[in-house]
Amino acid sequence: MSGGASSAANPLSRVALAVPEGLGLGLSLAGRGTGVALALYIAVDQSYNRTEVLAIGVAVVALATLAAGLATKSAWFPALGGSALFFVGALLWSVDAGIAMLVTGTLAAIGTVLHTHRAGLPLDAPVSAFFVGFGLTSAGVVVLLLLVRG
Amino acid sequence: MTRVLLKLPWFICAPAVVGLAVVFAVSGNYLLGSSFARTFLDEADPLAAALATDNGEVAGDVTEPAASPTPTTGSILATGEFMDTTLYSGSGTAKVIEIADGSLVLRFEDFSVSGGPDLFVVLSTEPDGSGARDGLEVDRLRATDGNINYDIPPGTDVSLYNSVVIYCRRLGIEFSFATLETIP
Repeated sequence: MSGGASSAANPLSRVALAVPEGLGLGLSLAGRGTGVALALYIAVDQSYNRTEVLAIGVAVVALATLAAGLATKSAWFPALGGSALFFVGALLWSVDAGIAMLVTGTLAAIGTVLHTHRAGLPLDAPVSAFFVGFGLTSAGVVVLLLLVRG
Repeated sequence: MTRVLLKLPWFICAPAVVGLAVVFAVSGNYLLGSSFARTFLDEADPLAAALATDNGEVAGDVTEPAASPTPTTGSILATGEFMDTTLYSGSGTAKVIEIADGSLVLRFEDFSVSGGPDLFVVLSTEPDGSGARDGLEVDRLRATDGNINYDIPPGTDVSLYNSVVIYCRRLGIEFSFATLETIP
């Protein structure tokens, strides 16, 4: 997992370096893009206020991380987008599209880690962003529950 | 935390990161997931079902309530409308029904309540839904929406209770309540 001198002895690192170039970036983009589509579908399909607001919120965040990817090569934003989709998908587990959203978030996060590793960059940024995403998602959900009547 | 994790050998670091993600996701779902979950249930009116059975029909086929249930099939003892609380919504009608065989049913009609964790249906002596903590626990909430029947424990003196409360036991919060008014 960690890069640098230990990479040669790390089978995960070898796998990451063996996959086709561009796969990581492709997974990251496709995962978040599909996640945005799923979130919008949930917002339209579900009639429950809180679910609608949560789905629109995560769609905006994931879309923003796609846009941010055009401006910066940092892995922070893509990992944050994947994280938001992953954790909101876990919250919306009772909805089929919510499970799919969790999967797209997972793929986006894995893709971001792959891409970062292949680029020879440390994994601090994507891993940190993933867990920061959990904190931000949790805080956002608590605020939503307080502000939006169910 | 991440820096410390990433300095560990890969065979500790990778499972630790994945494990933490899974633990966070599962705990988030456990604590907050039910706030976004909707469940539907549509059960037949026990009065209509009893009337249909009396007439030789199959109770399960009845979808419409009887227009005017006869006293022989049972009666409605009390009724009330579910109301919102500060943070949560509730709507629909609660009915306390006594079936001809003497059993008591608490029926919710056109019912809807905000989702939440660990929700229970409680009978409270207080008309404003307070005191649910010490009330009579009828059952775990079986669905957030629909027409739902709950069996009231045999021997319960329903005249002692003045409200039906949807109570979150984990948080100790009333989600919605219906003040019961006795039908003369």
